[in-house]
Amino acid sequence: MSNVKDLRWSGLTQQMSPSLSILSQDQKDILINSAYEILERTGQRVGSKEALDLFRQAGCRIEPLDDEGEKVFFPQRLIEECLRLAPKRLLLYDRNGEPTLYCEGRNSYFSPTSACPKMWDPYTGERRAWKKEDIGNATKINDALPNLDAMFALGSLADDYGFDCFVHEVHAMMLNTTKPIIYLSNDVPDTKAICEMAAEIAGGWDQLRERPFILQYDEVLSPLKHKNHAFDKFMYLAGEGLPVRYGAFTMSGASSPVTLPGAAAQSLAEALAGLIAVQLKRPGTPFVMAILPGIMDLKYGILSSGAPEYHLFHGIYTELCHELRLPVMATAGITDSKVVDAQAGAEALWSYLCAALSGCHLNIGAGSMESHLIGSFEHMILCNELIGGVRRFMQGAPITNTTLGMDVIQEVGDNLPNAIFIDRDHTTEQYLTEQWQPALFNRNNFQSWTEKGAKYTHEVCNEKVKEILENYQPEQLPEDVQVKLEEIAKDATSEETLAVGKTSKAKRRRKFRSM
Amino acid sequence: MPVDYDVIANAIVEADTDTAVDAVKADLEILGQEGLSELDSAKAILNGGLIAGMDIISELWVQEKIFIPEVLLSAKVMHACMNLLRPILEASNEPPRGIVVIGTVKGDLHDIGQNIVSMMLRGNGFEVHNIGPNSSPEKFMDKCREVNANLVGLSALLTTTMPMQRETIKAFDEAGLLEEAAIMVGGAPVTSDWAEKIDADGYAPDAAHTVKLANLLVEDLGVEAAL
Repeated sequence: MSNVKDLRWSGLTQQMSPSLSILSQDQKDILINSAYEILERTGQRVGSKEALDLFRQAGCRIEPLDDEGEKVFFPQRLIEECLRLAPKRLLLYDRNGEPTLYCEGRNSYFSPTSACPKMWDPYTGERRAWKKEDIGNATKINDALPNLDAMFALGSLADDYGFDCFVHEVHAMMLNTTKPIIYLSNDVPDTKAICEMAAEIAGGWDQLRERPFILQYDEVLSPLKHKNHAFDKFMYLAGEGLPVRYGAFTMSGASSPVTLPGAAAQSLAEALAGLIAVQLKRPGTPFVMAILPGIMDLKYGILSSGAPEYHLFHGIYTELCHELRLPVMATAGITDSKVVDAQAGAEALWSYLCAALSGCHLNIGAGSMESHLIGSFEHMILCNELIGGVRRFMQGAPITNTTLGMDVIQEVGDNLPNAIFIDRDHTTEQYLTEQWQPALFNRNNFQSWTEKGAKYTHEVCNEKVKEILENYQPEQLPEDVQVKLEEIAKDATSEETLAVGKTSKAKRRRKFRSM
Repeated sequence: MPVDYDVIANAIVEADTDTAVDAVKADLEILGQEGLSELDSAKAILNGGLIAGMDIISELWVQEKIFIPEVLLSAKVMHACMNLLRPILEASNEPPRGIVVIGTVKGDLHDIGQNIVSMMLRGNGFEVHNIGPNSSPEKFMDKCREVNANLVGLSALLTTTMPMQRETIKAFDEAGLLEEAAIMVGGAPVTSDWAEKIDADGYAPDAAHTVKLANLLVEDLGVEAAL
C-alpha cells in the first residue's frame, strides 16, 4: 500500500495514552480557594520556634495555643508568593548520581511504604517483628524488581533500636540498592546522621545537593497541627539545600471531614503550610506535596486503603497538585487484606491504575498490608507485576503507519482464504514491543498449569521472593564508604533515646486480660 | 403508671435525647412516689435504663451491625441523661463505674484513637480524664493520684513510642500505684503479645472491646479489694 495517507503528517501520530480527570476547572478552583481560606481563616498549630519566627516576620497572624505551639494564620499574599517560589519539578537521582525519577508532567513512579510494625516471614510463614537483615532483604527484593523505582524501608526496626531505628533502616537500605531512597527520621540529629551517610555515598555535600538521591518523609498531625520536629527538620533540610516532602496522613471521618472535597481542601491546606515554611527558609527549595488519602472505616475504626473513596481522594488531590504545578506523592498498592489473596490483588491494582491514570509522581505502598500493619515481600512481588501491566496500559496505542498495519491487512486479504497474521513479518517485528508479558500471572492451559504444580498466586510470589533472596546480589558500595556508614549508624542516638531507658520492666500483678 | 426502663434503653439505642431525658425525669418522680430514696432511684435508672441501652449498642457494634458515629450518638444521649443522675450519685459519694485516666504516651502526638476510646468509655458510665497526647509518666501518675483513678489507658500509634508504654508502666510500678489501678494499653501497632510482655493488665484491639475490657478490669479490681 502506498503512503498516500502518511500518518506522520496527519497529526494523529501523537501518543494516545489513557488519563483520568475527576474535576472541572471550576471545581479545582473551588477546592484550591477553600484550602487558601483554611490557611488564612482557620489557622494551624505550629510549634517549631524557627518556623514560627519566619511566619511572624512574613506577616502571619499568630495566636497562642498550647504549651509549645501557636496558631498561625497565613495571608493569601504569602501563600501565592511561596507557590511562585517553589520549583515546578523534582529530579531525584540514584545512588550513583544518575537522574532517575522525573517528578514532573504525568510521570508515575512506585516504591514500598515504611514502618509496618510486623512482617510475614517468607520461610516460616510466621508473623513477626523486623530485624535489620529483613530491611536489607526487602531492599534487595525491591532492587531486583524492575517496576519498583525507589526504596522505602517497608518495615520498622523500633523493636530492636527504639528511636534510633530510622538511621539503621536507612543504613540497611543504602547497602542494598542503587535506587533512590525515601526515609523516615525522628528528629534533626537523626536527619543529620542520615544526610551525612548520603553525603558519604555521593562523595560530598555539594554532590548530594546537586544530585539528591534521598527524600525525607514527614506527616502532618491532622487535623491542622504540625509536629515541632517535622518543621525543625524542614528548616534543617531547606538550610542544607535538600528537597522536602510533606503532607497529611488523612483519615477522612476522623482527622478530616468524612466527605472528600472537604478532606482534599484541608489536606491541601495542611501540606501548603509546610511549603510556606520551607520557601521562607530558603526560596526555591524543592517541595513535594504529599498525601495518604486514607478513609477511616467507621465500622472497624481502621484506616482503609482499599476503599473506592481512597482512590477517588488520591485522584482529586493529585489533580489539585497538578493545577498548582507541584510535584506530588501519595500512597498506592496498599491493601486492607492480611494475606496475598484476591482482595490484595484487586485493591492494589485499583489503586495503581488510578495513580497512574491521574499522573501522581511518586506512589509508595508496595508490600504493605492490613492498613500498614504488616509488610509482605510476596505482596511486593505482586505489586511489581500489577505495575508492569499498568505501565503497558498507560503506554496507550499510538497510531502510526506501522501500528495501523494497513499493509499487512492488505497482504493477508490478498492471500485469502488461508492467510493469517501470526507468520507475517509485521507480527514478528512488532509483537515483543506491542504485547506485555506477565512475569507472575499464569496464562498457560489447565494441563500445563497442573503439571507445574497447580500453584496459586501467593505460592508463586513466595517462590520468587526466595529466588531473589538466594540468588540476587545488588551492586555493592565501595568498602571505605561501607565502613563510614557503619560508624555513623553506630553512633547515631536521637534525643528521645537518651531519655528512655531500654531494659527493666514492671512485675505482673494480676491476671492479664486480652479481648 | 409503672416504670418502664426499656423506654430509656430504646431511646439510647435510637439516639433520641429528648425521649431519654424526659423518661429519666419521669422515672425519678415515679420511683420517688413509690417510696424509693433518690439515690436508689438514680441507681435503678442507671442500671436498668442507661447501662442496659449502652450494652445493647456495644453488642450491636461488636457484632459489626452499626458504625462508630452511631455508637457516639448513643453515648451522647447517655451523657445527657447522666447529667441528671450525676448530682444525685455524687452527693451520696457513690463511686462511678470506674475512674479512667487516658492519654497517649510521651513522644507520641497522635490522639484520635484515645479520643474515640474516651468518648466510648464516657458513654458507658465511666468517669474519664483525658490528659491528651505526649503525656509523660509523671503526668499520668499525677492525674491518677488527683482523681483516684482505678483504670489507666496508655495509647501509642508509633512503633517507636510503644516502648514508652513499658516505661510508663514501670514508673507506675516504682511509685507503688499498680495495686489500685489497672493498666490498659492500645493503639494500631499494639498487640496482645506486646501488652502481656510489658506487663500491662489488659489489651483491647479497638474501642468497642475497650469498653468490655474496662468492665472486666473493674470487676477484677473489685474482687481483689474484697479479698
